[in-house]
Amino acid sequence: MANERSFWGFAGVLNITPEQAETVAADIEAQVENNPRAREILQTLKRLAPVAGAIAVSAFLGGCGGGAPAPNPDVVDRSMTALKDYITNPGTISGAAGTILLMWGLVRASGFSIARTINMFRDPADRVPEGPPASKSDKRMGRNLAMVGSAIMLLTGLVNAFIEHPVTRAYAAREGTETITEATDRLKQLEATRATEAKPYGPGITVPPGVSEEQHRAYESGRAEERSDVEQDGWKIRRGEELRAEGSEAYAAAEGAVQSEEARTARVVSESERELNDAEITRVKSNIQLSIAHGRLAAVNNAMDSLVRIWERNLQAKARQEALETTREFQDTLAEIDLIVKDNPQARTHLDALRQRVHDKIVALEGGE
Amino acid sequence: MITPKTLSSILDSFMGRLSLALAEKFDDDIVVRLSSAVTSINEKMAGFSIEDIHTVEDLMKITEENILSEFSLAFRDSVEDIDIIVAQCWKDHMQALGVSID
Repeated sequence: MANERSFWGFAGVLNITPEQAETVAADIEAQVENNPRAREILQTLKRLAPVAGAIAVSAFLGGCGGGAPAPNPDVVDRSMTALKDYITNPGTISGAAGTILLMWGLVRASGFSIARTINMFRDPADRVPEGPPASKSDKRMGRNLAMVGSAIMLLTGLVNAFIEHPVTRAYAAREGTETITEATDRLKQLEATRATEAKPYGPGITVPPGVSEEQHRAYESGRAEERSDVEQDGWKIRRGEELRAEGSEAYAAAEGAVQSEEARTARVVSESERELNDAEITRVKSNIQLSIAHGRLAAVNNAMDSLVRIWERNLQAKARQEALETTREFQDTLAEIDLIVKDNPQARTHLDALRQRVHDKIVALEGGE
Repeated sequence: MITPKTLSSILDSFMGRLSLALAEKFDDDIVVRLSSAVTSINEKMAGFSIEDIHTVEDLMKITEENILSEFSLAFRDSVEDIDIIVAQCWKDHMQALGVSID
């Protein structure tokens, strides 16, 4: 089935061979082994409980679809559709049915009754499962089931490889996708067209009709450069285009953050080192805008809390009058943030509480405290 | 078709790649940050069952409240966008495996 829509690589992941996975895994493992900090980080990440880990991976993958912070509802929905497409593919259903029949048939044929088999799965440690052994006719039926299962699997493979099942064709037509045969035909046509239109121009070089060697070389050189740029920045450019399409200031700020090489390579500056200056305020406001745009309330509240903590720490080193001025300026900053979060009632409630704290501090400072 | 073992190998090596990227981007405190986040997530997820997820909205809600919020908290002061690092890692990983996610 040529259902090749590769949402966050899902369809592609299904086609990865064990050899490919093991080669890449060995390479990564060697790199991690040589990097003590990465090793420690990996051990920490592996401490995630299995269910939490599975959900975190789902969320990460969802976020990868558009390069947008997870979870992106649109991408999650699309990935669910891809999963459904795969599960409802006639080839998958047929293959799975054949496998189940084969396995069940083998179990019965080897002398396990239904009760004994169920008991064995309930308690795998029990080497001699309880329950009556299968009768002779049961064993014969099991052998027949295994043969039918094998036949279905074999037929599924043959049909998928050579014929393409009519159901698969109907499914492809309904879903608006190509069958393997159609995709192969189209590829052959493309190759034939290319072979007709191109003419040989020196060993190993083909150029379209009417193009000089010089023009061809210039084109190839430009394309190589373009390819290189796209390889390096394609992801950022795509993300930028998506962000621009949204047309909001928040997305533009995010685009700036993504494309800023300085920001990408900068090291973490801990909160205790931060000062309440214009750059910090702009950075936090940008974070809040971005988080609001993606509906990440926890991140919005964290950003506001962080700013308030920096303000409180900065006050400690100041005299009363200077602290009062700083706090009044900070009150204006919070009023600006209020404009950003005004449409989010929960963020606004949180901000109101912070504004009250700042107001109380001003009253205290004015009172001479 | 992919096997559970292969899928597990892909996800494990993805975690390895992510660890390398985090080690490169962050200072030593990354381990403390992650450790704290992982502990909180495991505490929140104790008693959670996969059967609690009925819809995409459920998945998003649980992910946001129990997992992403903890990562957000752990990386709140970071100038690096953790989502972008993870997405880039996944893209690199898929490319290394010969899969396009365009």
